[in-house]
Order: sequence, then C-alpha cells, then structure tokens
Amino acid sequence: MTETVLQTLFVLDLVVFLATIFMHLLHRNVSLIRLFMFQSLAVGVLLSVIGLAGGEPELLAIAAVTIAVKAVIAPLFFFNMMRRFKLERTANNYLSKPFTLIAVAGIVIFSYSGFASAFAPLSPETAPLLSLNWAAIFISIFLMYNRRGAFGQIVGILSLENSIVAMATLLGIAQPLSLELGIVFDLVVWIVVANLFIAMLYRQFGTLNVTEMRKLVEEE
Amino acid sequence: MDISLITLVVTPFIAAILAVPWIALRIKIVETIIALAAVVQLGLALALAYRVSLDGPLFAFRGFLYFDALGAYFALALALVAFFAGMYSIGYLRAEVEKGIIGARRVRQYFALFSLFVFAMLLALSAASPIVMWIAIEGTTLSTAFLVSFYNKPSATEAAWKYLVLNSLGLLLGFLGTLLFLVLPESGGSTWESLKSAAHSFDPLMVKIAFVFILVGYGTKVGFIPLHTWLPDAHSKAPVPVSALLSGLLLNVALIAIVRFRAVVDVAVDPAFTKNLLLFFGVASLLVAALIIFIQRNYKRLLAYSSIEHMGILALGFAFGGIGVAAALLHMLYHALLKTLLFIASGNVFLAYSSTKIRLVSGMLRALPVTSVVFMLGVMAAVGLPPFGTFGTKVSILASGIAEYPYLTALALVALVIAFVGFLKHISAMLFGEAPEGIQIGERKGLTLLMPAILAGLIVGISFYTPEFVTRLIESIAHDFSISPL
Repeated sequence: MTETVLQTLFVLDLVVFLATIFMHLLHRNVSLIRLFMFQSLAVGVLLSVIGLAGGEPELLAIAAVTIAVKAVIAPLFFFNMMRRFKLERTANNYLSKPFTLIAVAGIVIFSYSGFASAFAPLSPETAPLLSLNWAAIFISIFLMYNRRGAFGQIVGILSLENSIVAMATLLGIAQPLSLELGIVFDLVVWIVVANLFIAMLYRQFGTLNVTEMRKLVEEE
Repeated sequence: MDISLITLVVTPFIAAILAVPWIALRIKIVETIIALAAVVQLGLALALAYRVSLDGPLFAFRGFLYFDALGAYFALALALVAFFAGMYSIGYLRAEVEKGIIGARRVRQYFALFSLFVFAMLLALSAASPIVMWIAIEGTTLSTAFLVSFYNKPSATEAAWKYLVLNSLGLLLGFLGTLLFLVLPESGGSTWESLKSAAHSFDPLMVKIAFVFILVGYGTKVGFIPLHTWLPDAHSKAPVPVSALLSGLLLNVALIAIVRFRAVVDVAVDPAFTKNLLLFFGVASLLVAALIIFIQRNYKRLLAYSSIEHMGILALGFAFGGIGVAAALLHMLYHALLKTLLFIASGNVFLAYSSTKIRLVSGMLRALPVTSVVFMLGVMAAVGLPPFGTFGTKVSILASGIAEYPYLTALALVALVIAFVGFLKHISAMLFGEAPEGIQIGERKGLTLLMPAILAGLIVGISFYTPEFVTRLIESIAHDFSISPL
C-alpha cells in the first residue's frame, strides 16, 4: 500500500472512531442517525479504498452494497420512523457526560495496551490503526449499555457492526461475495425487525426509554 | 449430490413459505403441511444419523452442507423436538383460537416463523463454514423475536426487545471472534475442517483472544450466567412450543458452536485455557440457576432457569473431558426432550389455569391427571432422579471431574441438590391441594394430550435403551471433541 492509501485509511478509521464517541454525546435522534450515516459511509469508502488498492473488485461490490444498505436504506427507515412517531430526542445516557467521557478515555487507553497489538503482525501496514478500531468496537458496546433509549441501542449495535467490518477489512479478512451478501442480508432483516419493534414499543409503552419499561418486573 | 441432506434442510423452509399469511392457505392445510414437514424431517434425520454413524461425515451442495457425527446427532435431536413441538403447536393453537386469544392470521404467522426457526437451526448445524453458521444463528434470533412477542402484550414485547438487543450484541461479538479465527495465517479457507487442520500453526495469544469473543458471544445465546438475562424473559413470554424449541434446541445449537471452536483452540493452545473458562461458566450457571429455581414464583421461568442449570452441567461435562464429554452429549439429547416435554405440558397447565404463577396453580392432579403425571415425569428427569437417563449422565459428568476438581464437583453437587429441593417444593404445591374455583376439571383431548404422553414414553424408553447408532455417533463425537482419550 502506498503512503497516500495508508493516510486515507487512517482518516477513514478516525472518522469511524470519532463517530462512536460523538454518538455518546448526542441527544437528538436525527443527529444520531446522521452520524451513523456518516460512519457507514466512511466504512464503505474504506472498503472501496482497500478494494482499489489491492485490485479486488469483490470488495468494491461489497462496498457498494454496504453504502446502499447502511448509509441509505437503514437511515431512510429510521427517519421514516422518527417522522411517524415524532421521536425527536433520544433518552439520556445512564452516565453523565463527564463520566461517559472518562469511561471512553479508559476504553481508549485499554485499546492501546498490549492486548490490541496482538493482531498487529497479521497486517503490519495497517497495524497502527488496529488500536483505534478496537477502541471503536469497545466504545460501541459501551454505547449500547450506556443508552436508555431503544433508538440509541439500535445505533450502538449498528455502530459495533461498522467497527467490526472496518477492523476485518484492515486485517484483510474478505469472505466470498456470496457470504458477504448473506451477512448483509441478515443485517437488512435485522434493521427491518428492529424498526418494527421500535414501532411496537412506542405504541405499547408510549416511550422508547427502556428504563420505563417495567412490565416484566411487575408480572414476575 | 446427496438430495436427502438438502431435503432435510430445505423442508422447513418450504413449510415456512407455504404457511406465510400472504398465501392464505386454509388453516387445516397449513396444519397438514407443518405435520408433514415434521414427519419428513424426522425420517430424514433418523436416516442421516444412521448413515453418518456407519460411513462418517456426509457433504452436500458442493461441500456447503456438512454433517459430521456432531451435526447428524444433533439434527436428530432437533427433528425429534421439532416433531413434538410442531404437532403440539397444532393442538395448542387450536385451543387458543377457540378461546379467542389469537386469530387465523396469527396461526399462519406462527407456523411460518416456527418453520423458519427450525430451518435456521438446521442450517446452523449443517454449515461447513463458521461464517454460515453465524449467519444461520443470527437468523434464529430474527425469526424468533416475533415469536417471543407473539401475544402482542407489553411484557412480551419488552421481553422480545431484550432478547433481540442482547442476542444481537452477543452474536456480533461471536462474529468478531469468528472473523479473528479466519484471519489467522494458514486458516485455509473458512471451513471447520480447514480451521482444525491449520490450528497447529496459529498464534496462541490471537487464538485465546478470538475464543474469548466466541465464548462471550455464543455464550450469551447459550444463556450462561452472567450473560443470561434475556433467557428467562423470552422463555416465559413465548408460546410454549416455541419455549421448547428455544430451550431444547437453540441453547444447544449455540453450545455446539462453542464446542466446535473449542476443538480448534485446544489444538493451538494448552487445553487448560478453554477448560478453565468452561468450568467458570459451568459452575456459575449451575449455582446461580439452582438458587433462583429455589425461590422462583413462575413455572415457565422455573423451566427457563432449569435450562440454564442444564447448560451449566453440559459446560462442566465438556470441560472435564473424557467420559464427561460422552455423558454431556447424551445429556444434551435428554435435556432437549425433557425440556420439550415440560414446556408443552406447562402449555396444558396454562390452558387450564390461565396463569403462569405457581401460587395460582394447585390441585393439578385432580384437574389435569395425565398432564400432571407427564409433568412429574419431566421434573423427575430434569432433576436427575433414577431411573431416568439424566441420573446416569449427571453422575458420569460429576464422576469425570471429581478426581481433578473435588471442591468444584462438590459445589456442583450442592447446586444440583438445591435445584432438586426447589423443584420438589414447587411441583408439590402445583400438583396437590384443591384446584382454584372456576378451573375446568379434565384434560383437553387430542394432540395437546397425545404429544406429551408419547414424549414422556420416549424419554422413559431412551433412559433404558440407547439405540446402537446413537451410541456410535456419541463415541465418534467424543473422540473428535474430547481433550483426553475415553
């Protein structure tokens, strides 16, 4: 890989990483979805850059499908849902912003420890980016646990998926196109199912704040 | 191309397509399709298990489908459970339609999702590639989420949301672990066989990290404590035949994924690594589940925690190795069948009492005599009383670990005793005493009575006699997946 390609990958990986951090700080659903769109676009471009640099047309096809599904179709679904139910703001985090940022800093420090460098020998050229990727993965997981809102949890899962795809791409894992399409198909179904559940939750509870869903506890 | 293997996997998919509400076939026709699919699956799974026990692994569809001894053995368990749960579903849903709980459209939805769920599990079992297995297991989550929320009540939707989110998170971690395995040098494509044969050259640290993600990811689906929080809610809110599939099959399918990866890891690193992790999750699951069983107030949640307890026992069996592996494999089959029996029998209890709370269920022996007997037999098998096969398997699992881990084995034994006492306390309260006013005395006739009765007979039967081809399969699996010779 040339220096230009590596620098481009670094910028794209940084976008994925920073998006996961800002997802913790945003409270408007529309901003959250836009950020997810942006992150997905960065992952799609990252796939394209590696596909072009390595002369792998299959990666370009996967990049196109990724952008279509995650940066176009999924956000359309979410925007539609938000309009339908007037879901402007997402529920707060469990932790306050300062504590959230402290936790994120802890995760980043952990990701830059020896653990993250274990896989560096597999892809020496992109090794410096791996720690950033591990951080994005762990911060996405943290996002899911830190969000009280069902919408935020969905974005957390999708952001985790983006971070994993970015890491797999940097490590040079490419599945045959048929398998990649299988994975994307699962993702599309997941997005549809999650949207339907959001609608069901809102109709039945009148809120998407999961801390206000106490029916299971009451019925025990 | 082996057409029978493809037919086995595709049959539930075809049944699902034919059952979808848009096609709008008459309910009787949908029920016939489901019954036929269940019979065809069972016949083909029996033939497959027999063939694999004699000839070794079978492939189909250019190596895409792969049934080794483990796959064939569990495909048989799956076909058995799907048969009983499917046939029982026909009678159970008829009763619910009769009571006005659901309508015809919901019946079609149910059978379409039920069959898709079975298809996804068969695909997971037969996948030659770990990635295909992951796709299929993710498919099980998506097909069952709407089954968990089937009754459209807020509590069911809440349970389904929890199930969807936690399992999706778990499976993404499993996906990450799978990808990390596939990136290892010389992993040679992406099949179980190629992974295992290349495992000698894998970097130990990388393998360990990848396996931790696999264990946490698929362990969430297995319901290992502390990753279990979705399980009791989903099991208690889903329709009972679906709870039977979740408990008897899905947890085992996820455990099989862990066992398959473990076989790769044990070649690359000291087997003590996976052993210790399984011991931790095994004992934690067994102990915590037993304590919760003791204080449980809802009989469907009781059965759900019993499943966690059994997953703990299985983890211990696989961890101890040697005879423990063979016993765990046999225990998997027993558990799949007995939990199906308990859940479908609990369906009869729910139809009669309209409640899942233990304190609201009493006098079952008088109100539902046949269901009471099969429920009691199921409980006896679940707690591992003789003459049930689970007694032998539990004793064998504990015996295989007592020399190396005496304290841990003693702790496991204490947990089993607590679970036994807990079950005894709850079942006594449900069986004896006066039935509440307004409960209709007497059993419903038909499939809801016939299926639990036949299944109870089968459980008693296989406790005394294990067919030779099943023994051959277990020996073959234990040979492939045990860390120490039998």
